[in-house]
Amino acid sequence: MKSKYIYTLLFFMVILNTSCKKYLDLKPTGKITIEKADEFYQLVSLPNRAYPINNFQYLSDDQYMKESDVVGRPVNMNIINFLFDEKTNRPQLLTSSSLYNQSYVYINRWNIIISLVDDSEGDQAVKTLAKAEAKVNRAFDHFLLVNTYAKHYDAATANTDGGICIMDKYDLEAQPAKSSVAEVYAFIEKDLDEAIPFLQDKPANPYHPSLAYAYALKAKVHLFKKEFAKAAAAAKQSLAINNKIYDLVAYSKLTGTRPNITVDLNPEVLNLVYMTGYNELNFGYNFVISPELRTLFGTTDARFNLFFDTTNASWIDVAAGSAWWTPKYNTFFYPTVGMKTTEVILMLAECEARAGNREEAVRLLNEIRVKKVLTGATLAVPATVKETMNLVIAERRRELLFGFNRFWDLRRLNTEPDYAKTIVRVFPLVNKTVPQETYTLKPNSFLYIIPFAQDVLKANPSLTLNTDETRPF
Amino acid sequence: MKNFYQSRSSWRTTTQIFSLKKLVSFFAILFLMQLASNAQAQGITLNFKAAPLEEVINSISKQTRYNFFYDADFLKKANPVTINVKSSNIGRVLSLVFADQPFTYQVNDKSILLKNKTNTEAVENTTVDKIVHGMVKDTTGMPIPGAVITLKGTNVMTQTDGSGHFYLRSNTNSPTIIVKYMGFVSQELNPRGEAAINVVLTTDAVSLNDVVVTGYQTISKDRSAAAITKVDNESLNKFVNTSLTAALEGKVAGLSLYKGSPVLRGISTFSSSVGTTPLIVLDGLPSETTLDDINPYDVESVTVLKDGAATSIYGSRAANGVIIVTTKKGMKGKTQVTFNTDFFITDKPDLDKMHYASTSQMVDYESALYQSELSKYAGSTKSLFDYYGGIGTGSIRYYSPVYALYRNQADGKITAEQLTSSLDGLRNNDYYSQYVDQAWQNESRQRYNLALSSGSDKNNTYLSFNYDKSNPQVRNNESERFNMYLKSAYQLTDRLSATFGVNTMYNKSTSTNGDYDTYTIQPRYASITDAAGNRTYTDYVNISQGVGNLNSSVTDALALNSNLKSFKFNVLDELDRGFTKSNTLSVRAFANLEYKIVQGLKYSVQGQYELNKTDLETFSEADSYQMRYMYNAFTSLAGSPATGVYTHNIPDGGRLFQQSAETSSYTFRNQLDYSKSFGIGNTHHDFVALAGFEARQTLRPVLTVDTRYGYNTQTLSSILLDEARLKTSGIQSYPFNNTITLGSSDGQSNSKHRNVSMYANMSYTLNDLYNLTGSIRVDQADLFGKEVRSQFRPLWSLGAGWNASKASFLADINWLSYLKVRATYGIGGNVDQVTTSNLVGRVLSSDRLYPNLTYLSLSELPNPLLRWEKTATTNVGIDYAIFKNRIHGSIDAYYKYSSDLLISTALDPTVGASTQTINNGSLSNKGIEFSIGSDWFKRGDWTLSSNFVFAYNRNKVEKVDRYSPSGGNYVSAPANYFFANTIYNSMYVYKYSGMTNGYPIFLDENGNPNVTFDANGTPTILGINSPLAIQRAGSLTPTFNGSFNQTIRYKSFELGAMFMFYGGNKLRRDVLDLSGIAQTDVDLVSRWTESNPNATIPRLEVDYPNVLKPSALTLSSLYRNADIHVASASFVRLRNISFSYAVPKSFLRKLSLQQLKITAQANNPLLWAAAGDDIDPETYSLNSGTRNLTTPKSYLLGLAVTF
Repeated sequence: MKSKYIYTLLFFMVILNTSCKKYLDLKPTGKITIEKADEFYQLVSLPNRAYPINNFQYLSDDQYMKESDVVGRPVNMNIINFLFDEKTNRPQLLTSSSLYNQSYVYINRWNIIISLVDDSEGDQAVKTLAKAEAKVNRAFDHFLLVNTYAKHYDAATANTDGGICIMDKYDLEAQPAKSSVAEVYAFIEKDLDEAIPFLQDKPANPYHPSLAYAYALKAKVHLFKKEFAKAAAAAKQSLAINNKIYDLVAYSKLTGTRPNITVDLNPEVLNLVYMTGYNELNFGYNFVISPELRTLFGTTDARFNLFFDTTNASWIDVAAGSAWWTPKYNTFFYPTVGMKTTEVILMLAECEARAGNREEAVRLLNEIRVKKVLTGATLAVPATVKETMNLVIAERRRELLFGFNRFWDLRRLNTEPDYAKTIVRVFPLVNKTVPQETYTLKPNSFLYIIPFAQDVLKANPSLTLNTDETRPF
Repeated sequence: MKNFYQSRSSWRTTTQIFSLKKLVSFFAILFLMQLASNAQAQGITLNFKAAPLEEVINSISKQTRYNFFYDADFLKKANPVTINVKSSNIGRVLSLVFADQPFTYQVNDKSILLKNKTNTEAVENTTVDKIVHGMVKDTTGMPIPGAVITLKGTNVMTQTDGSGHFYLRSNTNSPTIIVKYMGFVSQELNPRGEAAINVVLTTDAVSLNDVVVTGYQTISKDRSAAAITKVDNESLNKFVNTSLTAALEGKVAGLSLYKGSPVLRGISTFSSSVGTTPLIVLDGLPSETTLDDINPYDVESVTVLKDGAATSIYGSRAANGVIIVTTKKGMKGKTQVTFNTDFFITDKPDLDKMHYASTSQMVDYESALYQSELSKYAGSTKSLFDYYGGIGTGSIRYYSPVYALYRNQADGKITAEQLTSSLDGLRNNDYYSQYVDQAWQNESRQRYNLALSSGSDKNNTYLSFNYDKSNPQVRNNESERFNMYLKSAYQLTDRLSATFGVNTMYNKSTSTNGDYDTYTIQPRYASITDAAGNRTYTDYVNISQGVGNLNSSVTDALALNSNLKSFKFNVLDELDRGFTKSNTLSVRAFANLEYKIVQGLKYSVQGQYELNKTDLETFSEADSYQMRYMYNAFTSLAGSPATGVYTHNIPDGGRLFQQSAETSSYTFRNQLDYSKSFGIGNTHHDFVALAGFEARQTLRPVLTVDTRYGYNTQTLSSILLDEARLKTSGIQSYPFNNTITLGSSDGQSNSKHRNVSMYANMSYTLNDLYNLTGSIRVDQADLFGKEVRSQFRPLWSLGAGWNASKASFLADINWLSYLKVRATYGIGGNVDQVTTSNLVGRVLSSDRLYPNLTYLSLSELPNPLLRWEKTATTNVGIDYAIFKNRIHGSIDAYYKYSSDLLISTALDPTVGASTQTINNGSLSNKGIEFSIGSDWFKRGDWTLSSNFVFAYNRNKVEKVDRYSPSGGNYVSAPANYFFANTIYNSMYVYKYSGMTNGYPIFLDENGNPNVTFDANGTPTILGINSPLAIQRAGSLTPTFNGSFNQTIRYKSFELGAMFMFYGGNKLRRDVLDLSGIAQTDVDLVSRWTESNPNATIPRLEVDYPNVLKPSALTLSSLYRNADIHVASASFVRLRNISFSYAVPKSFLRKLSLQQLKITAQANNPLLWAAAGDDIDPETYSLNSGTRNLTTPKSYLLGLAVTF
């Protein structure tokens, strides 16, 4: 008789156990449990994606520091970069790198989509699109990392040059291992090639990568690998979809209060990513350009005349001849880290120049210049490829301000003797209390490779530095 | 006591009689019929023809409440019965039925015993056959079911039935029987003759507490091996208690109530959302009610489950321990009415112990501060005051009234002489003492409690009503609480019983704006009233209302502007101009049904629903400082101040803020209980087991919030705001000359969680000597990771106990009255409801580039392995009583290892997150607990008794995967940053190496001083950042605590005192902040200055050269956290001292009263703190080293009457 009760009890336990699962499957409200394909697709869209540049901001001939931030100050990354200090062990100072960490947070987001969207509920088309878009973003992030933390791509040594860790799936417990530069580039190209067939010309919103942007990125990857024909082909594919140039000349001729050119009114924008955020240029005092770049603009360039201020402010040394950015993001939206159509035109111009098509190269440059320079816009076709290239390089400096542009161009061009540049900085110019010295940055300086920061080195003891600097522990 | 055996009787009705010889003995097979019936024995009707005797007596038994006790053998011998009676009485019926039988009967109370006709029946030569029967009762006359009766020297034993009867056959003529029942003193008897014997068992003094309620069952402590402390009603009410929490302090070894927060056996989680509060179980079911919300007068007993064996049955919510509250129930018998009334009064805190600088010293300091700051601006008062801003210039910063006077002088509004006389005028004020006198009142509280208890055989009821009214410290504050509690139990049929109850609490309070609660809102040299007693008004105060700061430049400029309101302030005015009214309704309803399936097997179903609803309403009058401030701040101006257009973006009028919040929860439980006692050979076995299923939900819906402006309390009308503009883009404020926005809190959140559990538990006792206990529980919750949900991860426990004093070799030691040795191991859990196993996003629409766009932010990364935190506890302990129970107590030692603790763990940033909260931390706690009690002196009318409770705990961080490169994090936030192998919540200090020129110097990680001086004596000050530069100074949590309780009784007078002590931890002495300008401490007078170069207190920021002023902050934080300022935080406090008088019984009888008792009591009258310096470690902020107001003394008067 008792056993009957026990069996009844056991029976109830079994019943309860099955209904239990249902009882416990509560979905939290007020937040979304991301489960559907549509939700994964929405996840691709990420406003305010920032890639901080403070690890290398002053390691170029374009940006400039106020002297009082350097003279008599304890050593920091900005000073090391600005004075080309090769003696201080940088890993000792870099406790963490927000660029590195942020980029991998984004990669993690793309990997969540790539790894989990297949098992979600919803349209196969949505899943394919979400995955393709996430791959473009993942390619961009890896491209950005490998070009900051590793040696520039060199076909001869890329297979053995230390690169970065490839993160190809969502896994918080992963133990990442460093891949070679060649492997990282292969991974980037594979992602782009797998994504391009499924992308849309006009995505649901500007935070979804468009086809024009994917081709532009592809062109950039090939350009960095010195595969100029492939780069030109991709650039043309991108320009076929969008080749609009914002007419700054017309804009500067407007009288009265100029209209605000918000992001949606700037047709050049290909993707929306930033150094610190959408409103980064509101804080122009962080973006002071060097006297050299100021000189390079000349006096008739609308890009300088409209956007820069040379008058006194507490964050610049007027006497040094530097200048600072003034427009706010909502008065004129200017892409920094994100790509734009003019960059694609400049890449194409470079490929044409290198291929010896000097006329075509200069024609492309002039296409941009007539909309950006007030007088003397049209350049004449030089006699040599090298001269033509120098025109392209100078135009890149004027057109592609801030972000990673000049830092990468220096790294890239320094691998070619014809275009390599030793940066010479005489400092300080204004302060007379300390002796003036000349600092030089050689084209092959290891400073151009940013070391991994302490937090990463600590968490991953097998990760080796890509420079000869010493691990801090 | 009654509670105990009644609950046992409802399921322990083993009425079989056991005998080893049942197979061989002729007499052996005995039957006992227990056939209770509801019918009364007013008349018996029988109509049988040649019926078997069994049938006839069954019928008699059914109609009456008589039970028949007989040997099965009699039935074989019985003759058929023919009888026909109507409405006859029992005596007559029995004589008829047994007239023709070969045996006779005997009636004892309600039982009828069949027996041999001794005269006529031949007795077998070899065997003596003697019947021993009777009844076992307690001293109050209540029958004791389930008592064990053994025939001494044999294995023959039986148990009493539901009505306390027993029946036994002996084969000797003068048998000795032993009557035993748990919790009572055993008795040996020598029954003579055959008359029924009445055995009265007295309660065992030691064992009085020894029945424990685990929430799932009631079990005698003899059969449990767990570390459990029960606090009974008498002990709880030793003093008049302000709350149930206060009643528990010092009563349970290992339960610390340091600074009012309950911690049992140390901290076993890093999560602040889990916290340390033990799970509260009210009448058997886990509850969301806090201890403070339980009316202490309704509580019968509190049981604290401390070790894993006791708590693991509560599974994943029990790692902090479990506190079980059992409420009173109606008593059988006379209806009893008890009335209590208490009156409390609490002193104002003693401000002298705060060591404030005097008014005059503050005026001097602020003057020096002004001069120092002026030197920063090279003596230019214009530059100085430009920095502070004014209407239309710069951002506005607050400055004090002393600064305002200097500004007036600088502006030429007053002369230097007028300035000096104004400053001297201020020296006569004392805002702090005026505030204490006029804005504070003595806290008072009145409490009335009326309880009614009644009961009969079939039901019992307890009903109480409590009214509690208090006036807190700040004037115009008051709160009232009504509490009604009803609990009723019914014995519906023999097998079915039910209990229902409802507890309703209504809390109503009125409070003033919290900004005005403290005297520090204005400087000490300000005033509230003048000499004549008239209220004085200051131009403005430093309360920014979140929109901007004020200074005299602004208020002077606006003084004559009729478009704006005045900023004038008097705290007494403001305490009358806005109130928060809150109403809370809490309801707890519960029901419990119990059904006896067969003997020893019981099924019960329990349900509980709890609801808590709070409505809050804050009204700020149009004239309140707050609303005048808002009105002015949200005024914009187009054009010049004289001719321009003023726009008031917030309408004139009051503001009404309303909020309604609710939480609810339910618990539902099904349980089977089984118990059996049996003998095999020389052994006696008791087996108790249970198994059940529990489901639980907690729900917190979204808040309802509403704010109205321009509210008129008369017309109840309000004016709509342009919220979209005010809350997003904001408006340009004329007085504060910046863009200000109206704060918004539009985000809504709610939570709903469910748990289900299955559990089982068993205890086995051999010969009342050895126990073995075990439990197992499986928990599942909606938040656990999918992988955890699909796995079977039970929480379990095992325990063993040995009742050593019952063992034969110890039984002869006279002085040892009781000894039990216990050992347990068990695992309990904690659930942090903050993290989830899902990939969770939030829908946002805050993109500034594309405002119409909605997008997803990833708020939580999925943690598929999320599981509960696990705490395994090993406990060994003894319970003892010596010298005839004169001294009794227990000793426990434990080791708790908490693993899988949720902690923010550093990940390789490459994986996409630098930290993730995962189950990756470990903590351990080990400790020893000790309690001893004794009525050590009893002579005539005098009784002296003492109780001592002591607990020591040492905890250790076993595993942590997070490292901060900043030593300052470890110093300032020891609960968040810690090292492995150290005590959790430790104090860290910097190494001090002396002071030069008023600059304190510290050593960095390499032992180098951080302040160096050049040839001119100019210091270079460096920060100290490395974690290697800090040292551990000790624990911030007390490592030991306990109490000493002394009672002296003489006749009806009783004097009681309870001393509490906490210690073993450290605090930082209260030192001056070297940086910043807001100083109030008296030490500032003796600081280093040029004219006081031998001072031991460093210079303040005001004394630094201007270029070094920014470094004052660095030195200030090092100085505050220096090793030289560490002191012991140990203290002893006389928590309660009470004197009571109970009117003697003889006198009460004349008044028809049962009890009349008057108590006078003082709380917290005395303190001895090791740190000295007027520091009260109970209110002091130990790690930041800041003084708070000391615990005030309170005085109580209580009256208790029972009718």
